[in-house]
Amino acid sequence: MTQPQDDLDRWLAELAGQDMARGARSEPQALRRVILNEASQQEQLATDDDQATEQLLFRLRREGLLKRRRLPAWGYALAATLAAAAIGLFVLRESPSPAPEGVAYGEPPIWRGAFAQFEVRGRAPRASAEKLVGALRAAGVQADIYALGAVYTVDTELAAPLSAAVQAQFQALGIAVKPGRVRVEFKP
Amino acid sequence: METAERNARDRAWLSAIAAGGRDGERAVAALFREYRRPLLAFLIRHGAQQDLAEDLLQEVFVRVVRHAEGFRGEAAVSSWIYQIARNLATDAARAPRREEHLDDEGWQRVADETACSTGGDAKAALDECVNTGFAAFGRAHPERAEALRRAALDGWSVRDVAQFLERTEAATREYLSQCRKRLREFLEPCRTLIVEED
Repeated sequence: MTQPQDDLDRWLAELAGQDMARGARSEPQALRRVILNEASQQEQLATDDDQATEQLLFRLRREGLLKRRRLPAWGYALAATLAAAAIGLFVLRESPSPAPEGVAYGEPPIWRGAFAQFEVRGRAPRASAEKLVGALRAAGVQADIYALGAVYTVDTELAAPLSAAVQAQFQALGIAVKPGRVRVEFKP
Repeated sequence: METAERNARDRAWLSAIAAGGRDGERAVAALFREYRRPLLAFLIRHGAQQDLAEDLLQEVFVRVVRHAEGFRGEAAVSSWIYQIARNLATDAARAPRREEHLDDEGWQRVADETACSTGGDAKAALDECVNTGFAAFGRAHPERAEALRRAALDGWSVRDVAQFLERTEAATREYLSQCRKRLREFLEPCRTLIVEED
C-alpha cells in the first residue's frame, strides 16, 4: 500500500485502522467502528460456507475452468519414461516366459470323438513337450501345447501317410502313433 | 491481518489458481471462503435478493478463476474482485443506481434521523449518531458509501478504489474528497460528540 501523501490518504488510513493517532472519538475511527459493526451483522446472514464452496467447485469443474497443472517439457518426458517402464515391468511380471513353441496356459480343449491319448513321464515335461512340438512343426504338422500346473499337453492331428520324421519323434518317446488326432501328456 | 499481508496472500491464491492443479482448487476454495460473506453483503446492499446474490457471487468467482492468469496486480486483489461484483450487480439491476438528490425536506429528514443524544457514554453516543448518519449517507450515495466500506474493511488505497470504480487515480482522489465532504454533511449532528486529539 502507498504511504499517506495528504489529508485524504491519512483519512483513508484512519478508516482502515492503520492510523489511530486522533483517538477513539475522532470521526474516522467512529465511522470505522460503525462500518465494522455493520459488516459483522450482514456477514452473519450468510450460511453454510462448505455447501456454497462445493457448489462453486462443482460448477468450475463442470465448465472445465479448474485446469490441470501443466508439466514442463522435461516433466512430460519423465512421465512418459516412467509410464513405459511401469508397463514393461507389469508385462514382464504378469506374462509367462515365452516358449519357442508358444505354450498356451490353461486346460486343453475337450475333444469329442476318437483320438489317441498318451502319457509321458519325465524330469523336464515342458522341455520334452516343446521338443516334440518343434519337431512336428518343422515337419509341417500343426501342434499346440497347453500347460496346466506341471502337466504339459501336446495336441496334434496327424495326416496319412505318416512321414518317417514324424514317426521317429513319437517313437523316441516310446509311442506308436497312427493317423488321426493325438494327445500326449507330459508329466513329471 | 495487515492490508499488505492480505493482499500478498490473495495474490498467492490467484497465482495458484492460474497454475491450476490441486493447489489451484484449494486456492479457489480459500479465496471463496475469505470473500463470500462480505461479497454477499455487498451484493445485497446493491439490491440483490439473497438467492440472486448467491448466484451473482458464484458468477463473480467463475470470472475470477477465468481471468486469474490475466490479473495485472496494479491494485489490491480485493478491489479487482469487488469491481467484478459491482459490474455484475449493476448488470443484474439493468441500470446503475442513481444517487438521491436531497431537497430541503430530505435534508430535514436526515437532520431528524441523525439527531443524537449527548447524554451518557460519549463514545457510544458518537457511534450511534455516526451509524444513523452513515446509513442515511448510504441510502443517498450507495456507491460512495461502498467505497468507504472497502477502505475501512479491506484497507483500500486511492489506487484500489480507482480500480473498483474504474476511474483514474486523480479522478478517484477528487471523488473521495467529495465523498468525505458529503459524508460530513450527514454527520453534522455528530459534530459536538467528535473529539480529535491532534
